[in-house]
Amino acid sequence: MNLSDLSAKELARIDAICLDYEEKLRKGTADQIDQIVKQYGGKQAAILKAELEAIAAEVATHEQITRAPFEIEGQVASNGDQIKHSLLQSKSKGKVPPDSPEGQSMALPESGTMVGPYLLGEELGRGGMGVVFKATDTRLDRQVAIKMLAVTGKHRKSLAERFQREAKSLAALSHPNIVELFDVGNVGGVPYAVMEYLQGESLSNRLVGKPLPVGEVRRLGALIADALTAAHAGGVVHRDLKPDNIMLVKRQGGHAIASTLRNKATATSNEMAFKEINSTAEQTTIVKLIDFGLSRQSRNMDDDSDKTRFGTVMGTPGYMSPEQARGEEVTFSTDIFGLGCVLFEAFYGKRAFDGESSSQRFAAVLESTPVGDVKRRKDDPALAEIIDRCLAKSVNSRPKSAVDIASALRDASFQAMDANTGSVWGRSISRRRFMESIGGAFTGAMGGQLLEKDHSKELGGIRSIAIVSFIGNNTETAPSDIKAASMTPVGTRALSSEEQIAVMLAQELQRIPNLKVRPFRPIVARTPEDFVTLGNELDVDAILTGLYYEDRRGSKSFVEITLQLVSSKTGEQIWTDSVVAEKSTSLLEQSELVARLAGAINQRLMPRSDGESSTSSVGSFECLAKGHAYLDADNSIEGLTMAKACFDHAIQQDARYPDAHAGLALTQIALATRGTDTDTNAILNRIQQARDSYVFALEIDPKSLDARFAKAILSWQTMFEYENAHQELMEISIQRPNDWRIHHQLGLLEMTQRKDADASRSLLLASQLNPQTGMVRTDLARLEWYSGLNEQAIKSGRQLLGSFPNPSFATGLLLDIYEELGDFRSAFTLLETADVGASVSSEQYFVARKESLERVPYGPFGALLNLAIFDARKSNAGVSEDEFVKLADAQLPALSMLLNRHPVFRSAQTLDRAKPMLSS
Amino acid sequence: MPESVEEFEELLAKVRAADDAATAVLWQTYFERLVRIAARRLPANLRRVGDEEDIAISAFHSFVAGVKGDKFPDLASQDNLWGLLMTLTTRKVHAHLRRQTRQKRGGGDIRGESVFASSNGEVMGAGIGDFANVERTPDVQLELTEACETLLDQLPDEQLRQIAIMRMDGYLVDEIASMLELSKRAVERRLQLIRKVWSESL
Repeated sequence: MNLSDLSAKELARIDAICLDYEEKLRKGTADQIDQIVKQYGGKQAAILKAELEAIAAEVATHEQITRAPFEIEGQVASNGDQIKHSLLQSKSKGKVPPDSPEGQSMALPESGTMVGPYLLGEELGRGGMGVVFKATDTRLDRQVAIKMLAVTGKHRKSLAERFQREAKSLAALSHPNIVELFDVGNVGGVPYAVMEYLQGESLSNRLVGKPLPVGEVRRLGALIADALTAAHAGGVVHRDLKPDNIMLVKRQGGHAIASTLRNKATATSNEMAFKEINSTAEQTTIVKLIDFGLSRQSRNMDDDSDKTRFGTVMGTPGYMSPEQARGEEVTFSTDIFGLGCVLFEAFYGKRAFDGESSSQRFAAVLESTPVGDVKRRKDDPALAEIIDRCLAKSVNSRPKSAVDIASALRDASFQAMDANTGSVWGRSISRRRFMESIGGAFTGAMGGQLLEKDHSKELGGIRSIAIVSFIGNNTETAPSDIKAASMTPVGTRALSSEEQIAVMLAQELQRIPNLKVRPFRPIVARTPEDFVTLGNELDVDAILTGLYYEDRRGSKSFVEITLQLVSSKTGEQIWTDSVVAEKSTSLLEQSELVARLAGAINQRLMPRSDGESSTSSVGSFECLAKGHAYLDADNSIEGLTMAKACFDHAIQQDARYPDAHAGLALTQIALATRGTDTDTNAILNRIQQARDSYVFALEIDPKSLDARFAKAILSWQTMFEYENAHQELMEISIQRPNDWRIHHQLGLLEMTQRKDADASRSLLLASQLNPQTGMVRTDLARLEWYSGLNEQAIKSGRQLLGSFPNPSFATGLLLDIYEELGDFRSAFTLLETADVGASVSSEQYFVARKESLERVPYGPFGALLNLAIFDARKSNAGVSEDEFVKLADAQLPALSMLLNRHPVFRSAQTLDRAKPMLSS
Repeated sequence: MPESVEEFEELLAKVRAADDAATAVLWQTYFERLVRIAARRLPANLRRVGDEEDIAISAFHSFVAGVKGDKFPDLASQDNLWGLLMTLTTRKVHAHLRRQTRQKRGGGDIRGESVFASSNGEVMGAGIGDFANVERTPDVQLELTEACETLLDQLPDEQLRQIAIMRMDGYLVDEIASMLELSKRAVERRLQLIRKVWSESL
């Protein structure tokens, strides 16, 4: 049930509730979703809830973009040309134009004037909200920085509050790694803050796209953690930790800036900081945490100002924590997440959550787990582990305190700490490290020392690939008959994790345009011989498999995925790569892995889509991939029903995911075509739902190929638009040259249109692209029969009987042919799998045939049409007019082909009702 | 004037047979005017500004996308508002004109020239008697306009009308959302409501 199933009246009601909610949400006065649903949901509670949640998500993202980032802080050195300054930045980016009506500058004091005891010097930076001056404290004769707020208009109040808050937070803190506040004041209505003057550069300036040395990451990270420890001890959450807000301040002549390291701090962490500074060779700089403009006192300390309103999200996309992004309560753990982002960027040389727009980065924080380079990870696995933990989505999974992180970062032999503090990091560390240390052993098991060889030539020549099940915790021993396994679809059983990963990879690999990807079949191969056999059977250049291990750490599941590309000529591994990530986020790491695989075989990976066809919901993509695994041409009706459930589920998770709607449309078509429904209304309903689904998919993404595909199928099968559908299918096939389903469909259409030569070409191509599918090869034999080549068709059908473990389609076709030829003896023998003697009466045969009709249908035509063929044969007459009208009214998809080609419908072709359905 | 109806139907038949030239003629002769007139109902801040040519192209693309899938007109398979609107308006036009033709044969009530002025007073094109005008006879045009206006008026609120018009004018969902300061989700939901209201109006 979704919006499109509602009547106009019901939809109008839901619409009104949603509009009201959206309006209130933007004003910040919206009620809780659950409350609204409870009050107004009624029968449409689920729909209403999904709709309201989608609105909330969209509005939250939008608000975020328009509100952030506010950058007010400025602490700049005198050699300012090198310095990345947040105020200058926001000015140059034009995010807050100085002359915008809401950010108008007030008259500010000029350089050379006195503000209290301070003599204003050069302007260090300026932005939409204020100015930072360098100044001299004439009483103490020291350099200071003065920040002045200069904003009028409607934001003034909230900015002034923030200014106050920053001052209040800073005043409460005193730490060598936190910028120091000396004084606050007010000049002519302009509030100002006097702060320590810092000489240096921001961390973001230092990091331009390149990682820091491992030791430096640990050292600076520990200093930031110290600063956080102090802030948290003072009840202050920074809330906007990012490289821009971390200043690297040079020590002068072996001493830190005088004002900095005056011994105000008392904690032992301070001693450690000194020890750190004095003990490492590299430390010419120390860290100063700046910009407490977004900070707030933790809840219990400052209750009045702390009512977090839903939708007011503050922070910087790409660095804010998931709970911050959702507008939930912010705790110290948010800073730990921010620290994780900073460490990630410093260690790997790239942002933890990146994206072209702030909304993409915003979504990334919520949805994805960053994956660092595996090789870099090996430089310091323990550090990589610390970073992973800090970036955990759930507050409970992150390290509990900044102190823990500081000491872990200082402890180069991390395991010692693991042993000491035990539960903080958990047992998985050692397992993780174990996995890393034996990383090479997997390849040894597969292909000996063959990795040494140069496989680049073979890799570059790979044009076709098959994906088989991965090996993991749950893998059973390989079945003895690899060949039979390759012919068997998934069926209806639940997919194991190892199979799911393969299924998703198969889906992702479709994005490599020059690579033919065989549909996934649940095959487990282990030995080189297995792979060679499979390679021959599936006619591919290489086989992709791998290892999949799950590992629980606390409340989270992590997975390690290793891809292995195996040559089908030699059975040797020719390429491998691996990632580790949180289980719920397989999408991202896959796309990384798939991109690396594409690179290894010298191919290009197309972007996921033109932007619309993708989903940001990992769960939704997972469901989609599973849906496609069940939507196998050879799968049973029950399997197709599973596919439908998967697509429904994918839509539930992301209602605007066009591929999921398109998948649902294709599944409904398959069910309407092949299903066991005898209720014509049920079939009409399926077709109607298929139409609604592709219409909706095309509304979201007019380019969705799956949706166009579904539409083209229905246009010839139920509307008899043969030429138009053919043209459309040709166009789709140009864009998806390796998609066997499209060539198969073209073949069926051309068969219907009596273009037998074309049909044969299309079906052959489909069967080359997917040799495992019995359906296509059966259709080739059917084409031979329709073309009048009885002997050839029987021979082909017989061949199929031997090649497929469950050849019911081929059996059905052979029965059809034998019945038509009046050869009931052969038919009966086939049916009973025993020789039944010289003479079989037709009565005898038809009794047996009737019983077997459901199990062995004549073809994938659906229950009603199979029954119609049976009745016609039994009565030894063609399909009657009454019967035909009934079938035509039911809009049975397979009828168009049968009417045009099947012998029992020959007489029906002359009926008036049949005329618009004929292809010529 | 029966010729114009037949001409119109012939054009529709060609469009259904995927004749691109016919689609262009149908657009230029009948529907471009329709969307231009409808667009006047939008408040000034929502109207398209910019090059006339670009505007026409954008709306034309939206029209083509709408009718292309509609080679076999059938309410169930309407892909977008244009497809739906075209089916609905043309059905109404046919029904109306046929009735009128029957009445004409009986010398019934025939409208005068004045009906060719649109609601805001602009003369839309020549009437039956104006042979100097080489454009196609405006009977169908007028009926289409009326049918379209009726459909728009059936929508329960002003914003729905605006969304419908903007969508037919070639605006994308994103653009409509930002111009109306609504979420995209809301625009999509409201488009669905428009489709439902119109589909059920038959």
